[in-house]
Amino acid sequence: MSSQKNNFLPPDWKTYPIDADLLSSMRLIHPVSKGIYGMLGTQLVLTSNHQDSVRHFSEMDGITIFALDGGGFSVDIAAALGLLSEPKESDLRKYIETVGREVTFYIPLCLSSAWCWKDGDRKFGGNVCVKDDMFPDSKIRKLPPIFIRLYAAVRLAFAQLFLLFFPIAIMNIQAFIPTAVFLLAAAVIIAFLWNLLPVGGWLKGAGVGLITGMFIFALGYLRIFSFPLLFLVGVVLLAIWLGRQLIGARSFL
Amino acid sequence: MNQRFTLPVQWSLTLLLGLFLGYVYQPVPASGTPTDLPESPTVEVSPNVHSSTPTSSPTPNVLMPYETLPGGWLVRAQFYRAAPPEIEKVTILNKIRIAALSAGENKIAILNKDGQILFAQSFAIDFLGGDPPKPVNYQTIIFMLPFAEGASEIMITTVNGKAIYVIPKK
Repeated sequence: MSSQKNNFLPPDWKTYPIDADLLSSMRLIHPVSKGIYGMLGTQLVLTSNHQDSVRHFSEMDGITIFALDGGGFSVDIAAALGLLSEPKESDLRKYIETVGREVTFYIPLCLSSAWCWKDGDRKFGGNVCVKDDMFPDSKIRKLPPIFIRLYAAVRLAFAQLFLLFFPIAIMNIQAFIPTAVFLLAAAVIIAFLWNLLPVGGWLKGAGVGLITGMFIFALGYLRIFSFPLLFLVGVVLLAIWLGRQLIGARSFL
Repeated sequence: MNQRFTLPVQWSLTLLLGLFLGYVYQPVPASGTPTDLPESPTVEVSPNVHSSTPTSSPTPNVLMPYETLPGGWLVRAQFYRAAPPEIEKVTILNKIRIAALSAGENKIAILNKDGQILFAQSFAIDFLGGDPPKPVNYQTIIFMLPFAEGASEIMITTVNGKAIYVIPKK
């Protein structure tokens, strides 16, 4: 079965396999192309375009996956960050028409809360089934969204620090500790203020950067730097960049 | 505005940000500029103190701070908030530089056997330690004193009392 031979298939239909690498399950952001994966069947799982999640369902028989654009985060994190919006009605209706039979949409509890889709509801001609245990095991699933955001932001901050270590070590290793402190502070602030800050990762990051910068300024910590204003710009850039990363990444392919 | 980047682009930009942060972080040097130095009190010495600029004048000359002298004593003393000071150790040095001390009500002096002052320097003690400075109960100060002919003892006088170190005879 291929998309070229069947004119009724959705244009963004994808086939397996999705290869895993050694770090697949460890990556916080690991995007794959959004769209429908697998054979067209009556059981459609709505999840984020996280590589490990899609691969998880690809190993289950009779399951079709609709990977929504969640920036490559797992479905729990993408939902907590508000990255997963409801799929377009036209896409789902087109899928149902293509299949030509009754379709069930499987969603996790986090998407049920985010979209107000309840178990047994009829949506766009299909049945909604909230089934949490079908999705990959996740220790953070039971946490409130704010703590999921905190987990994601802090983990992303540590991943950033790992990358930042090398250029900072080349330029000036002394800069690493203040960078780590500011980045982790920005991660905590951004996690708590995520829903209150302006829309868009850039603007959320800019808001948090300014808040963090003002705190540092108020504490008088900037006095120890030779270029205090330039360093303040660096702190704001750091927070903006963290906010930018928290909206996820695009698939390379 | 919210167009996402691919991961390789994100990683590259993170590395560039790291270079920028490494560049802009330059801590202020720990030592101050010469203008930050405390005002040095006048140090009066009698003519028989060895100075690099010996003078035949019978009137006391003045040792300039940070002037290298041919020899002297390094005195390590401990000061307490509510007890007399203690002279912990006195070491002979081949070359010394008189340090500039903040003027204060305390005094360190070199006396001859008649109790006459050959060299004296006033100084202040701040019982602060650590960074940021916090109050402490004792403070250690190291003094540099020039050699003086006929010196018999070194005496430190503070508001809490005094300490005397008898210079051993050669």
